[in-house]
Amino acid sequence: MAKGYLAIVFHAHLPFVRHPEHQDSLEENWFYEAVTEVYIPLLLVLEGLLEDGLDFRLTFSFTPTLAAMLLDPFLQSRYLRRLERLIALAEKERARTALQPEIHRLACLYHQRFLRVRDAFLHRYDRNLVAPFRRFQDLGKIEILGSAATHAYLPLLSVNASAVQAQIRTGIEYYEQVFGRRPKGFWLPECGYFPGVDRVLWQQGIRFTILETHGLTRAEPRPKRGVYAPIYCPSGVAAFARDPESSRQVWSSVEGYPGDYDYREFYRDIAYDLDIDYLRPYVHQDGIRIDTGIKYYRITGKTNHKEPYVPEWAENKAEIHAGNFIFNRQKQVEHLASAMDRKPLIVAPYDAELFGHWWYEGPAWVNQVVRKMARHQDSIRLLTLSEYLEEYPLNQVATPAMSSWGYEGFNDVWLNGSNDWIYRHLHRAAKLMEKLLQRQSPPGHLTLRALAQAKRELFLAQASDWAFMINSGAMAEYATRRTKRHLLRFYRLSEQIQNHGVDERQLRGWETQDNIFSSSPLL
Amino acid sequence: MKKRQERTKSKQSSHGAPPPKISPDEVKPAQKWEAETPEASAQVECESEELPKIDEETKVVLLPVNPYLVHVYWGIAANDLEEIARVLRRVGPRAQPVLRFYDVTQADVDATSAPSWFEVEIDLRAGNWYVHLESPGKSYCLDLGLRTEGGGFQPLARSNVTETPRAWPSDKVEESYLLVEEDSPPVATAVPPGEPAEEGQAPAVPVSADEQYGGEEKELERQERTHFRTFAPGKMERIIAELYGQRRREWSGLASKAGGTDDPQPSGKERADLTELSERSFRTGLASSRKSP
Repeated sequence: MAKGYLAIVFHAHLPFVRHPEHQDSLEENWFYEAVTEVYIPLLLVLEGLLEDGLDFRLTFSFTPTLAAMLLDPFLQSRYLRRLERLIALAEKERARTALQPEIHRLACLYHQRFLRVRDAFLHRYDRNLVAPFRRFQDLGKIEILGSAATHAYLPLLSVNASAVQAQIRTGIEYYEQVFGRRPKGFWLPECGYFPGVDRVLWQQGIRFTILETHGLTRAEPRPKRGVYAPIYCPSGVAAFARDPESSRQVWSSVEGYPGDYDYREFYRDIAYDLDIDYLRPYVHQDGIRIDTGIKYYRITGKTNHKEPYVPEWAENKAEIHAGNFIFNRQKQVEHLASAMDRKPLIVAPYDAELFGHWWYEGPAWVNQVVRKMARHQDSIRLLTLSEYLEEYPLNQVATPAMSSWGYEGFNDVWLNGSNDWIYRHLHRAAKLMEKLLQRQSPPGHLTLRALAQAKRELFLAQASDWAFMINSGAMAEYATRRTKRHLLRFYRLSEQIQNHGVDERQLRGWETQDNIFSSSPLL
Repeated sequence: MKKRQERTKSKQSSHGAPPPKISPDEVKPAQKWEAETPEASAQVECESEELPKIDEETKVVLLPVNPYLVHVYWGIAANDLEEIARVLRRVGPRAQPVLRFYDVTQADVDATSAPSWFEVEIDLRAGNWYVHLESPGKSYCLDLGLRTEGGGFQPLARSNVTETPRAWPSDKVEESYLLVEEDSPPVATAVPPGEPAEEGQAPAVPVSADEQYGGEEKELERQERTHFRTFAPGKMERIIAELYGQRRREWSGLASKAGGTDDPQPSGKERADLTELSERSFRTGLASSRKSP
């Protein structure tokens, strides 16, 4: 019988990067890469597990922005076009590398892999990648958590209660629309918790959320069981917390598995190695070198010298690492079980994007972890957080501490000298939104449309991704532009609504560009 | 997005470019769809403009950054600027703009005593300020104002109340429990270790002092919660007994290190502190720079 439980959580999120106004958008590539490298590979792993009759439990959080993009016909079409481009490049690579056996073999593997991805996207899933996740949830194999409408960092929006409530309510309503039921669990963007947000979650029917470790260890009163059992916030919402050990093993770029020398080197893409004229039809139309996803080298070592990738070595390593991960969890559970009055629970949340994108072998590792856990041991069992609460509905009450999973564990990443200018606008706009909604009685059809669009623009401005990127520097220009664009559109709409002068043509343009939640009752 | 920062390749703007050349020939449905949509030609507006100045009212907002740092931003409305100018004309250049911080951590406990305060001198034109604080886990609000000679204070605006995060585990070890089950309101109970609770003796759940969230709904919720569900006889006792049944055994031994791969046996008889254990492991993780931006 199992001595303890393990809940693996994949946080699946991308900001809303949909740019119909550009023929070729660099930022949309994040989405296309994630589909090819993360979501389809993970889905195929789940399909394999199901076909082989394994009883598994995994947890996914699916942000509304990602789900909306996966369901968007425009992005689906563009994705397909992009994938076709990639397949054509892989074909060309097969020919180019014919005289280099080690590389040629890899080129053929990439070609086959992209064809499999296309087959899954077009035929198995009919372009809709949300539906299979929903099916796995309906089968009871995975549990999908809801999240805030546009991944807003709630602790810094909390000066406007209405902003926090709208993010949570719309996020949950969208989930219901997409997954056909209301979520029991809620992923707080960036694990950003502040005391009080749990009450909003409870009012929306949410039963649990997941915090960074110190959200729980610094709760008051002091939790009895560390992070190995949830607490209930005074509102009744259960707060689970991340286990630092299992996180580090997978996450850390220094100690973690993904840094193993046999694994594929992320930064050595043919986009940066080959002649630009050869690449031109397959990279950005302006000749900007962007990752193609075709990478022939393994990490090899700490220097820039890279050796060719050997798939068998990497697969073998993924299996060894899966075994090591389980072994460590078993040891952990054995120790904890001897110290606890119940079965300990290890909660291991990761960014889904790590699996397949940053860590190419990540999906293979997940596959091995689930198979080995099912077949080769019985001391630890995978479960969903809902199942845990069904088994243990009685939990200690404490108020978690304000916390996030950002650097240093608080608000520093999203609030510092580089990005603090955003908040006075977000706070002002949220207050304006409240006023707009109170004023209109009864608004006409055009005003209603403008109000809904104002809300969309505000939601999009609130995404935590922009402040994150501005802070990290790499994508600062784009993130700044996005923040300003949505705020300015919001301000413009707000003026027009107040002056009863909505510009219908302009509104229509913005509705088609920033079309998230276009079928949701936003007001 | 966590690891996006590791990406060092520069990304450039994708504005205003000609249509792409696409060689694969199997993309007709997608291209057709795209060619028909008006979206691709939609104008991008609002990107070159600057955000407006937004000082239509005098206000000051306080935001926590971490246990030892807060951010304050403010705006001064035009008519208040005139007022400030008047004050300055009257008292001369000795008036000093300050942020007056009030520690309101205990305010709800004893509303009669005035909260302690301290001041931080600022440059009013800066529009925002970062203030280092010595003790974490406190509630603050502040006044933006002018300190005049002789101890006078001319407030301009009062901020929201905010809490700074805690920086270490709590020493408060009181235990109370909730039972939350599907389709039922939560049931509160306080259970001293080793003693089964008796029915009907459920004290109120401690409710956080933060009144901003919930408001009326919270009051309703609290009323609802007072209708505690009655248990089938013995059910609570059974649950509590299960919960605490092993505790006497269990606390007699715990591994000094439960996360490890090498520590084979629980060590000694000391009382387990899983919170301390988790906290220590978490700090180790921070030190190894898991997610530096």
